[in-house]
Amino acid sequence: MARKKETAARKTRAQTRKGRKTERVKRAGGAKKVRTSAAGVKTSTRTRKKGEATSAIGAKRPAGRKRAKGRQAGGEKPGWRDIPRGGLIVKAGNAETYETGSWRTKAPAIDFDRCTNCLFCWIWCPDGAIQVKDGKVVGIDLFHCKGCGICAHECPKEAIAMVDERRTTHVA
Amino acid sequence: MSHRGRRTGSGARVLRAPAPAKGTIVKALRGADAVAEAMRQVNPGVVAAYPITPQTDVVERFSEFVADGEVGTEFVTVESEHSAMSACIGAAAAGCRVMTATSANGLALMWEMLYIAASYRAPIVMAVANRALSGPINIHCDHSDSMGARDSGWIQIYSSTVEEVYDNVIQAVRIGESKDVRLPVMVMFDGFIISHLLERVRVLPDKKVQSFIGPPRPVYSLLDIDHPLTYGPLDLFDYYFEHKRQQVDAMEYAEKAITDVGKEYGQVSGRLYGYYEAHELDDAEVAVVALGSTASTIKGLIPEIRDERIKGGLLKVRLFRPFPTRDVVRRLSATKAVAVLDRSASFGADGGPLYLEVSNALGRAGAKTKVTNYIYGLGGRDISHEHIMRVYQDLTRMARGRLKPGTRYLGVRE
Repeated sequence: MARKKETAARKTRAQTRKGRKTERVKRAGGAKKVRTSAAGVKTSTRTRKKGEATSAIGAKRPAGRKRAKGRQAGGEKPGWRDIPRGGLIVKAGNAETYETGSWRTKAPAIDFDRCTNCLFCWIWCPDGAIQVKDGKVVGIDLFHCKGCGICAHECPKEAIAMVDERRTTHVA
Repeated sequence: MSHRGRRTGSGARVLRAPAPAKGTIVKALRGADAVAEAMRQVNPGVVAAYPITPQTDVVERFSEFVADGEVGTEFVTVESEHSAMSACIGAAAAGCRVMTATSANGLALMWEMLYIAASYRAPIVMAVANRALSGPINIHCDHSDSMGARDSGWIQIYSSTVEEVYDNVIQAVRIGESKDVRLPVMVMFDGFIISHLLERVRVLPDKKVQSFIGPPRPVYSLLDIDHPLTYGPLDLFDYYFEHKRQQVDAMEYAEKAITDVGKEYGQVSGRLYGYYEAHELDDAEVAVVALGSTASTIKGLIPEIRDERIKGGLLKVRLFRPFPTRDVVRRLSATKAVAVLDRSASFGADGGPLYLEVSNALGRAGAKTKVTNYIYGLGGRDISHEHIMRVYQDLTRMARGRLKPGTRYLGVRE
């Protein structure tokens, strides 16, 4: 009984949503959405398909559509029916897809002229947000960097400064 | 016209119960023994408990079953109730069937873990021998302990007789473990009044109980190393709300599970269970709503009340969470006045917890029934026949507009 009622209620909700959804889709129109950080750095891209809800909260997903893979930004998270019960994480290693970068108020800016590639920042970073290539620091992963400032504090050459994000110049 | 022996419109019990299972034995058991007996038959994987009056007899008796090898249970003797519930949660996360028992201050010490058990969707079964919360310290019955835990996310079942405690503990296992429910269940029985009262109990054969509950069906197991999972990660503003919404949903599913399990248990035991029991409500002008042992007392008094030419009925509420709002409206909206008996006070509120639920249900349904509240029996204070008669007499006056509804206190010295 309860389940039947729930389904019926869900259908009605979905119908009332439909009008709003179409309008939103029209506006979005399958356009490529580019998410940029406050620093103007491109962090992730995702194409919104036609008919796809812009918000997952309580939205009915089209059949066969797979859960958004990879990084999830705020506003694109699944609704309460689509997440494991009890706050459980049933897939290992999903910290990579969880954005902690939104917690940040200040971002590390690297002065590459001063950097000696000692990699102290890489060792100390609690989030593995220091990007290293061939033994050299190349940038900061802003999707995960919480802006804790440990890297700036530990850098022996004072090559990292915590600055207002609008003034950072590094490459993500 | 004689009213004696008439029992019409009694909730799920109007359905004709089948004959009791073969091999049912009638035993003389106290409430605490009945819980231990049900636990023995369920044979849970883990029991973690700490003794507290009047629950002590439950764990004492159960520890004998463990010592005698009558159960295969891992019995964890912990140093506090907080640890007891923590151990239960851990065992449930591992995929075990888990049971425990407590009372009053023990339940209070579990507080933090109660919410965690419910939010992790751990189907733990806990028997609660209702006792007044300190202070001042008191070991006797009232419902202040479990009523305080009413918003912790546990399913709450109240029992009125020793046999009901036994039946409820067995059903609780199935209810909590039901698909889409997966919630912990508290089975309440009045401290001393039921926990230490010797009554006849029709005990089912062990095999019947085992086949009724079936093997544990964990959805996830922490010990399943091929499918690693995380219990209790940080759940902030971006997910916590969704998880709480799921818990609301689980309670909605529980409504159906409780009905189904009650019916199925009726097929097995010959004793059908629903959300409530109604006595003489069909033609009732006035009615009383009560929980626990007091409901049994009132039930026994109904013939006398009818002899007094009072058209009085009784609604015995079995489930407090989820609360049977629809049933309350259906059964009570035709009456003129209803008295709700609360064995706990909600300080600063507009009445006791049960009253607030009933009055909200009837009010929202637009019923014209007058609802009044009586607080009684705090700290084990007796509720007498005279008290109950007075309630019904008050109700008849209220129905005629000669007495105003409000919160009154039964048996307190002025």
